[in-house]
Amino acid sequence: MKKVIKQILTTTSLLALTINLNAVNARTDEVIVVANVDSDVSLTRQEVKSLFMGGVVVDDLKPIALPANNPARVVFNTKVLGLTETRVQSYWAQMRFTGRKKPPIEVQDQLALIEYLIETPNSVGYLPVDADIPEGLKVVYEPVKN
Amino acid sequence: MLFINRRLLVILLFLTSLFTPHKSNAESEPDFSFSGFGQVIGGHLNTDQAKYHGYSDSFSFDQETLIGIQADYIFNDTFAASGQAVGYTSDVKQSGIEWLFLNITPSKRWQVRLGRHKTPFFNYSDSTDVGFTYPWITLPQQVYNFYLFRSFEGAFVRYDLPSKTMALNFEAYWGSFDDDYYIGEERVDVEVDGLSGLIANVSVSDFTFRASYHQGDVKVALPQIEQFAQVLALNGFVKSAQSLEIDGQLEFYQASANYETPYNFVRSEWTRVAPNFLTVPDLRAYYISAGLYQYPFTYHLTYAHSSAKFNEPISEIPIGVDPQLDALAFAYQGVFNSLDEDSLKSISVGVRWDLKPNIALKGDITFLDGDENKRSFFEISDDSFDRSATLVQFGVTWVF
Repeated sequence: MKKVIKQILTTTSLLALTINLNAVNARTDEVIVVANVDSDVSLTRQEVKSLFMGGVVVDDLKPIALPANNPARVVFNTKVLGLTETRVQSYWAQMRFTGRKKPPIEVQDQLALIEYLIETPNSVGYLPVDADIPEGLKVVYEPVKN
Repeated sequence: MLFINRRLLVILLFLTSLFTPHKSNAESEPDFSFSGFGQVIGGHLNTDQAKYHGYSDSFSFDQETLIGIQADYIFNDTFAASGQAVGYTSDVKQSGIEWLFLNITPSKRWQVRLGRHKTPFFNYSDSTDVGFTYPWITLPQQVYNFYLFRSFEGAFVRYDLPSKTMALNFEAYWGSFDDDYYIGEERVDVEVDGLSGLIANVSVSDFTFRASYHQGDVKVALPQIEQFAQVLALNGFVKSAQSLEIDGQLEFYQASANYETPYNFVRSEWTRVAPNFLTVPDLRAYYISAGLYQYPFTYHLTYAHSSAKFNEPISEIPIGVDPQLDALAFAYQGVFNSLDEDSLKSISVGVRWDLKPNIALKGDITFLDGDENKRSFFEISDDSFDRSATLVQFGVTWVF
């Protein structure tokens, strides 16, 4: 029964998101970080940075990334990780080719990201700040408002 | 002929990566995967009196061009196996398997690796071949020179400590090394037992720090010196004989601090290699590099420095008593006088152009200024060489 409700929620959320996709893409100068978690989770910027750079946080979370040319990723790199895409790529090359860590799983676009997050417990990803947050996802980090 | 084939292979693999979309970590990772890296580097040194890092006054692509292939196999969430092989065009570097280990991750916090590893002495020691990971064409040679044994067989453990305010992890390893390596162009047998190290990495805001300590019991077989040491020992000068052996503890100290924003960076690293035997110098080195990011370009200005110093030899053989003893003392002193010291200052300026997410072009100019009385990392063919030269390099580096 739970599974059916979750599937319905996923489908309706994705439909709503598809309709609002233009609005979702409208503002990309800030990002929020959302996760598929049951309990209240609040991450600091350092924790988000650690998580997406292969480190660990207290909560068992799995980071999901957007591809290199995605505008939300560029904002996330600049404002949350504090790094350029060049530096992110070279960091992951160092981690991979020294056998330490592998980069987060990447999905094709924002819609695929939301779909993945809804379907995968404890997954965490970033979205433009004014994106509609579908049922089942919680904001775990947002930039400090001026 | 083999060289031509290797070059062709490197070029073919580069062309393949150029026309293949950048591989991201796709939604579901396969159990078995291949990845790799490569670089084609050309360089020219503006003197015919010496070589530096293999470069001479004839333009060469053979010194640092390489290709690396990595295979990863995931058995399950806990066990995986990885191996990496590298092929070099340089004939003083041995192509073959660089590392091969079983990777055990009992939890996200712990990682245990068993097998053959690259020795993680300094920031880039285990990724020196992956030029894509750093802004320079060649890592500052004062710190990253070929004196160090590059790999070991044993165990490596990493622990990531969760924190709300910093990213913190510790690494430790233990193992041994038994292989050949090069001092200049001479191939030497090296054994290292009880090789171990502790590394702490901390990242806070825009700063990252790394501090590490490594040590091992080193034994290097140098047949010519061993013969002379036997002569000294037979004449009763046991301390002098022992002082010629490369046999004892070698310690490595390292500390680095990096500052990184989307707009600029500062990277700095200090290292010390401290032997407790007389025939290897105490080598202290550091570099500091400042740079700007103007996507897709990265610019850097780097200063590097090394200072090598030998401890005083033993004064055991009496002088002025007997002509034969004088000859022995003179020969003993001659061994120390012939040992090479690498004290060098350098300034590099360079640019990196990230053409694609996995391909970067680079160009560097390095102004070298060595100590005139020392080797200073040069292979000197003319004694009148003043240890000053300019190295121009450019190349392409990529991952796939």
